[in-house]
Amino acid sequence: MNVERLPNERKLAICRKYFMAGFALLPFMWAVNAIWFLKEAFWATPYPEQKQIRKYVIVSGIGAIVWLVGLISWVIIFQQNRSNWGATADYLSFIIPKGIP
Amino acid sequence: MASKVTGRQATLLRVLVLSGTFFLAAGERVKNKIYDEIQGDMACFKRFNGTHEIGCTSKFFGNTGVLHVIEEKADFDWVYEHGPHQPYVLAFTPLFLTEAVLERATDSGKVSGVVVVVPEDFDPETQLLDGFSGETECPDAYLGLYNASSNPDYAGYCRKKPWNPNGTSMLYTSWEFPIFLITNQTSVNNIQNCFEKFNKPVNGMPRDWPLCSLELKSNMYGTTNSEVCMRRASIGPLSTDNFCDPLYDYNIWGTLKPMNMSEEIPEKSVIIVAARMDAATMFDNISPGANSAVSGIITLMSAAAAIFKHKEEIINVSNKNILFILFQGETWGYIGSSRVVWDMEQGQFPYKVKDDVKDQIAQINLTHIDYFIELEQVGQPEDINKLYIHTDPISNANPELKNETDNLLNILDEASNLVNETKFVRVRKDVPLPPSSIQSFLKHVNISGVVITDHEGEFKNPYYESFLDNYRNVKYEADNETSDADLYHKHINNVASVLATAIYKLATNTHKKITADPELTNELLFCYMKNMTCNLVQEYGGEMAKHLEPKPAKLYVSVESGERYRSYVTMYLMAGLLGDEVERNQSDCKIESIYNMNHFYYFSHLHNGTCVQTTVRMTEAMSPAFLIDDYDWKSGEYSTWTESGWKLTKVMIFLRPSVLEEVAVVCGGVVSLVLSVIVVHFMNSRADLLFGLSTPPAAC
Repeated sequence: MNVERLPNERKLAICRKYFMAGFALLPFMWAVNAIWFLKEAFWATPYPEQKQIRKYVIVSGIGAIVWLVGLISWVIIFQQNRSNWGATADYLSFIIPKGIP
Repeated sequence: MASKVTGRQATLLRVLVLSGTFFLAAGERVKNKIYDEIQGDMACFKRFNGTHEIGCTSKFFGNTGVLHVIEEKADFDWVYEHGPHQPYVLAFTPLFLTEAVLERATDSGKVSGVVVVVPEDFDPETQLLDGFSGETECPDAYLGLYNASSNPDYAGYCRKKPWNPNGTSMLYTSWEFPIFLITNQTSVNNIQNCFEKFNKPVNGMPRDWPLCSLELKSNMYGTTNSEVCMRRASIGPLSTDNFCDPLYDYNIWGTLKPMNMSEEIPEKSVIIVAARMDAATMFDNISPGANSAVSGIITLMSAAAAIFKHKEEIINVSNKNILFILFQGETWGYIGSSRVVWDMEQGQFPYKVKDDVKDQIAQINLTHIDYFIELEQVGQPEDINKLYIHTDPISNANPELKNETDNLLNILDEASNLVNETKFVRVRKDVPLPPSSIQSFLKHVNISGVVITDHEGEFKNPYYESFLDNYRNVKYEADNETSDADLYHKHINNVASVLATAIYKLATNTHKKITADPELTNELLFCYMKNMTCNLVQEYGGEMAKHLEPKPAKLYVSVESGERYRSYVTMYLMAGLLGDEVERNQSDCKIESIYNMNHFYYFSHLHNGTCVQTTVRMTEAMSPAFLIDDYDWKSGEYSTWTESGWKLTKVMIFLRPSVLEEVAVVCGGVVSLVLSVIVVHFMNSRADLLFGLSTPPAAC
């Protein structure tokens, strides 16, 4: 679907939907939203809904980055401490690597 | 339409050409041209207990290194000080298999693996003067009767006077590189020849590439300890991988007369005659245990067969019963015996009471035990006619029990006088028992018992729990099942005769000289010591016999169904020795329920089909630690040994070119790929010119 071809109110509706969906612990929604509407929000010829879209894109983008940083930090901390945390870490794991403490 | 057809034809042509080249090439894979696989089934593998891990593992993709055969001590120095082609895989005979050597190899950081090669002419007796045992100096002490917390007076005895002075504890050490044992002579020669042709230093100067290298693969799945890997095996939605499994097999046992649950068993009426079924080594697929296990197993079997011939006489005059039992997994913290004691205490030996089973087997508990006679290592007496009897100093401090024990000792003396071949010598009363299954019982109940061995103090067996504890070690010389010249089977048969005579007296209170059958003893010895496809196994083993190899029996306890063929065959042999032939055809010769007091076995290869009625059966030998909820893994009460899972173990030998050559080949490949892409692109863009074709009209 090419966003540029949609009518402006549809653009806003979709952007809003993705923004709201992101609150359901779905950071990928925000990431997609931010990238997908980036051009519309900042470089497209101005139209009335653009201001709102821009707001959603910025907040979605920040949200996605916060999530990304959070997830990466957690993965690093978890992987470094997995063997020390013992049973707790094992219960948190979906696949436990073989032959590694 | 026309273009579509040509397209299909082109595809067909392409498929034909491709398959043609495929068949012409006849698929020997490049991998197989580079690598030569040599014997790799005897790998050192990982085991775990409640707190530690022991054994070896390779990296995920295997460990590679330049082969260096060690012929003398100086060769180690050459590798560590001068060898430029690290990492090395060292190859040496068992002569150098010591803790110090392996530790130095670890510390050097230049060794990525070790193969222990055993050439045909390797003679341990003249070359390994110091003996070799992977066990500790005090085997099984940590789970035995005399540990520091329960019996401090006797705990230190073994440390002062070790039972196993040749013990290196090598079996219980965790090594950082894979170790393989290679006994196949083709593989041994392969290693030696490849080394001499390509690697052997000339006048101390290292050779140039290409060099002969080895790749050792034995990646283990489990880590850390039993607690961790048992937990990991039980969690996760995709937990089909075996991180580790508890050591598991079966205790094999039978009684002289069947025990029906409807008849009460009098207290102190069951005489237990026990031996240890298992042996261990560092390596997979080899655990001969000639003296540590086979000597006891065969003595017990032979004595059981001799006693069984007098079954009616004993039953008629006595209310005593005799229970012959082979305990499994005793090497690893008395698994089999501690399980029997645990089951007896829970009132579930051999099974819990079942409703609606007729002629159900009676429960035996600890109060039913009368005497306990155990055979440990009995095959290597210093003086051919002399064995030693050990008793427990703690329980015998009780005067009542001491009377019983003295009675037992006297009966054994009388029996040995009657048979007049083997003499029993009593070990000093204040000396604790050597490693033995009765310790599991004495931890929970006071019974009078003896342990019969070939040693007074330290073991006579220089290779206790090692791959060298084989028929050569005990000097078993029979080349076939009927050899009469061999002295060893006569010794074992004498011990069995004395034992049978003593048991007869214990049960009936009358003296009668009972002689075990030397032919049977020799046949059994031949099977377990030399060839598990022997006649007896063929006759009694049935379907299970087909899975055994013409090699000595593998006596490592293993994991569930790991070595079950050996165990089933042993049970069938016991059933044959402790069973009555009955007139039943094959279809009727089966049990209604395993809870019945009698079992029926059909031996189709014995006299054109024989049905045997017997009490012989097998019960689970897995440590109670794995049955108790929330068992404290560090408590040291029961064995917690588990074995790691793994996918494969193999050893490959190959010629490795210099790094420069390797890099050149890769670069050459990349360059030719890039070139061919450029050429194709060029040809494609100039297709009109080159092939004189006009561009087809665009689709739709």
